[in-house]
Amino acid sequence: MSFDSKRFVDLLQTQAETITDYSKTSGAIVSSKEIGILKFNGNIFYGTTAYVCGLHLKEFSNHEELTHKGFIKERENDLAEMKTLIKEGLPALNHDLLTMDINVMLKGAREPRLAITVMGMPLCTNAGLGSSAMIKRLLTALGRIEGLPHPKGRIFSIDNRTIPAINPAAAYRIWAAFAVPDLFKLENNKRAAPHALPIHEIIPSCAAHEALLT
Amino acid sequence: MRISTAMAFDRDQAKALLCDLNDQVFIKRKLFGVKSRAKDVASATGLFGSAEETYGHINHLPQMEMSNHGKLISEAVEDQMSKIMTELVQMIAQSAPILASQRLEVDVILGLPKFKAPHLKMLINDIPLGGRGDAEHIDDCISRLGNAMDRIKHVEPGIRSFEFQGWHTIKAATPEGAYRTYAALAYPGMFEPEIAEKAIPIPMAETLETDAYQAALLAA
Repeated sequence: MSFDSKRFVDLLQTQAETITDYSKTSGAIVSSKEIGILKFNGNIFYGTTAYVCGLHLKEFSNHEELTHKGFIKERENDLAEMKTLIKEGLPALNHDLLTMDINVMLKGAREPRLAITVMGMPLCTNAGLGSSAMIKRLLTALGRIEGLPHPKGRIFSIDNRTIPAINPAAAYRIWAAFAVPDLFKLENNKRAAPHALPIHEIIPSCAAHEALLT
Repeated sequence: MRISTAMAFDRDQAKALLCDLNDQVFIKRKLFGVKSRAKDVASATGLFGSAEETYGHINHLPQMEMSNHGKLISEAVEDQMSKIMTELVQMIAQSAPILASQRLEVDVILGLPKFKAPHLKMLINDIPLGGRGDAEHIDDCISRLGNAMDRIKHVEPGIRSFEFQGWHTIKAATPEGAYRTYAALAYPGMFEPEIAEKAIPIPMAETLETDAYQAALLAA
């Protein structure tokens, strides 16, 4: 099944806009730039989390609390659908270590601002980008790993990032797509070649450990 | 020199070498009239199969004017220390072909004057034998070294590079061989059944070259 990027973008944009509007109307006490957090917590909770910053500081009436819970539930449902779209359309990311943090920032001039991090690799600075630019960047990265197969249990580490992949070439491609997209340009690739970071394949050491006693 | 078959590790000879090394340090210290407790470090590196074999001696002796006679003694001591360290590296390499297949560096920290018997600490490829603790009695040190050599004498050398705890690198033919070598040097307790059963396996990773993968990014 190919990656349904249109549906994914629709969901992401809706999430960002809804959270931005909700944070204004719900009386969230915003003390930082972030106003909402959406997460796929692949390795910790095996689930999804949606959170509107500042609302934990507010006292809810019973009615408000129900509305708020309903709102968060909706966001989590949408987030779960986004996660499913990625896992079904991109087999290379279909593993328990997949995490995606989507931080919704204070609204920019025309559109919500987003900062997205995939498996610990930020796609932009902490200040985030306008949602259309951020989505374009995310789709480019996802497009570069489309067609890579399921990792089947192999895990690599590049620049202290843990990346499940079927082979070292796939691991390097995933890392480059999210962490150093410039490497896909000929000039930058050539310039960076002498400084290429090594890949480490994480080897389960249980068998070797047991073999010590034989 | 490429070493492919392991020879038995001669503990007595190793002890004699280390005692002699310790004596040489004290001869030099006496020459300089130094009574400080600062440690000396004698190190030797062997890259078997190539010409790179080096020796170094870090001491804490003051810079001072010396008579010609003193200079001669000092040079003789350095020569003797160099010979001892080179011989020690050769012994270790011959007892464990796995260590001879890579850059082998042996450091000996010695010259602790407060003990009657020599106390020292040995590091092989930056891995301290017996952990990071203080210097040990020479017999304990030889025992640790001998046990480690016995445990890795049959490990097959290779060119695959394995990294342990993000710091130490061992080259071997198989992950099991690399793990065994690292455990023998850094965690000898792992070879005891009661400790091995409770211990968490040491994390390991194989290091792979990236050049081809980086170039491949442009292909698709």
